[in-house]
Amino acid sequence: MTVKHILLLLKKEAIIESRNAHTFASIILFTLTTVFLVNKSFNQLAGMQWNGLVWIILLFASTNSIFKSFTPEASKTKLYYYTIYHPLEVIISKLIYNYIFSLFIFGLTYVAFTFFFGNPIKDFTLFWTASLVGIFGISTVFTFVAAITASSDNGSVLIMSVLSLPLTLPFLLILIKTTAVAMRLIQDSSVGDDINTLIGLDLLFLGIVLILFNELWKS
Amino acid sequence: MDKRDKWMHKSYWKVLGVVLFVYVIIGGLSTPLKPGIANVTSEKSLVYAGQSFTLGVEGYNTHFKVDGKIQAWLKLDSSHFLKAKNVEVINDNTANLSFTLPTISFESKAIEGLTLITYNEKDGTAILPDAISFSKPSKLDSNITNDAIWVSSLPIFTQNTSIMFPYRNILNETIRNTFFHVALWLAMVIILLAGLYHAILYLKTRDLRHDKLSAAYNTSAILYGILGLVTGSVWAKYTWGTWWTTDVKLNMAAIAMLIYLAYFILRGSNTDFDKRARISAAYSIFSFAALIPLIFIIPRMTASLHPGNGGNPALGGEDLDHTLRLFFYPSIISFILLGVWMATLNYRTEVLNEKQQLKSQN
Repeated sequence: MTVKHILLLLKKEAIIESRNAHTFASIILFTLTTVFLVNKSFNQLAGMQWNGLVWIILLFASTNSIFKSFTPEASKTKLYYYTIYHPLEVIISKLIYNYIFSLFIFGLTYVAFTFFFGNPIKDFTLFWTASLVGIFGISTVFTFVAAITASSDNGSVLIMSVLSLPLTLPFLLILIKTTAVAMRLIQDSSVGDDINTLIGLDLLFLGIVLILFNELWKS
Repeated sequence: MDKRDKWMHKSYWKVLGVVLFVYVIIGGLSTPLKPGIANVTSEKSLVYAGQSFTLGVEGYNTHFKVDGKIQAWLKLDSSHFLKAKNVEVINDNTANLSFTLPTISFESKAIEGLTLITYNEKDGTAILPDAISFSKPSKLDSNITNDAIWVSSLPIFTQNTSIMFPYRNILNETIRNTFFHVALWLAMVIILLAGLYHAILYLKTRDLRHDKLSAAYNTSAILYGILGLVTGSVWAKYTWGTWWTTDVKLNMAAIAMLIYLAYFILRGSNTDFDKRARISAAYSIFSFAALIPLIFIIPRMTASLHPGNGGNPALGGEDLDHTLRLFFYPSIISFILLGVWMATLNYRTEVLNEKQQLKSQN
C-alpha cells in the first residue's frame, strides 16, 4: 500500500469523471434544480428550514453521485485492479474522492441557497468545522453502502437509499443541531461535545469500512 | 446434522425459558402493589405556621378500615415531623387527616413541600412527597397560639414484609412493564450480539452455517425490537399521555429498527448464497456499529423524557427494588432463551429447506 497508488487511483477517478462530463453536469443540474424547486415552493425560508433543507438536498444529491462510484467498473476492470492494487488503496482513494465530491455538492448547495434565500449563519467557523467533519462521515457511509449495493445482485439507487439513509441519520441529527447553533437558532454551550461525537463516529465508521471492504472486494 | 448444532436439539434450556416466562407472566402480573397514597385533596394549597387544615387522603391498595388505627405525619426535613391531630377513616381507601402547624419560626423564607407519611399495622408505611406546600415564615402573627410541636423523629414502624411491588405515582400498575419493555430491549441487544458474533465468524471461516445463524439471530432481535417499541408506546400512552413523542430515544430506536429492516431487504435482493452471506455479514457488522451511537450515545447527550437519558434516572434506586428484581432478571433470561429458541427454529427450517432444494434439483 503506497500513497503513490492512492494518488494514481484518485487521478483515474478524476479522468473517468472528466470523460463522463455528462454525469458530473447532471449532478450539478440536479442540485441546482432542487434548490430552485425549493425556492419556488417556499419563496422564503426561516433559519431552521434553511438548515434542514441544505442537508437533505446534500443527502439526496450525494446518494445519486456516490452510487455510481462503484458501478461503472466492469468485473474485468475490477479483477485488474484487484491484481495490481491493495484493497485498502482502492477504498481510501474512493473515500477521498467521494469526500471531495460531497464537499463540492455541499458547497454548491450552500452557494445556491445563499443566492436564493440569503445566509443566516452567524458563526462560520463552527458551521464549517461541523460540516467538514460531518460530511466525511456521511460520505464514508455512502461509499460503503455503494460498495455493498454494487456487489449485490439487484443493486439500485433505491436499495442504496434504503440502506444508507437510516445509517446517515446519526450524523444528520448532530449536524442539524450544531449548524442550528452556528445560526444562533438554539443555545448550546456544549457544542464542542457534538463535534467530538461527530469525529468519534467518523473514526468508528472509517475503521469498520477499512476492515470490511477487503471482504466485499474479494468477490 | 452438524455436530455443533447438538445443543439446539436439547430441550432443557427451552423448558427453562418457558418456565421462567410463565413465572414472570403469572408472578409479575398477579403480585399486588404496595399500599400507597394516590392523591391528597385540601382546601388550601399553601399553608402557614399556626394554621389548621384537613387533608383528604386517597389511598391505593390500603386498608385504613381494618384496624382503624392509622397514624399520619407530615415531614418537613429529617428532624421535623408533625403528627396528625385527628384521623377520620371513611373507608379502606379514604381518610381525612387534620393537622395543626406549630407556631415556631424558621430562619429561611423558602416554601417547601411537606411529605405525607401514613402508617397502619396491616399496610406499613405509605409516602407521598410534596403533599402540601408549607411557607416557612420569618414573621409570625402573634395572635395565633397553639400547642402543636414538631417532633424530631418518627416511632419505629413494623414494616409489611410480604412481596409487593413498589407503588410509584404516575407509574402505578404499569411498573410491571419493566419485565417486558426493559427486558425485551436488553434481550434484543444480547441477541444482536450473538448475530454480530456469527457475522464476524462467517467472514473469518466462510462457513454458511454462521451466515444462517447470524440472520436467524437478527430476525429474533428485530422481533424483540418491534415488541419493545410497542410495549414502550403503550407505556408512554399511560405515563406521558401519547403513543409516540418526538423524544430522541424513541426516534433513535425507530431508526435502529429501520436499519435492521433494510438488512432483510438486502438479504432478499440477493439470490446467490455466498454473495448474500458476504454482503449481509458486512452490512450487519456496519449496522451494529451504527446502533450503538443511535441507542446508547446520542440519547444521553440531549434532553429526553425517557429514563436513563438527559439526566433522568434509569434502573436503580427505588425504582427497581428487590421485589421487582425477583421477576426482572428471570424475565431477561427467559426472553433471551426464547429468542435463541426462535432463532434456532428459524435456522433449522432454513437448513431443511436447503436440503429439500438440493434433493429436488438432483
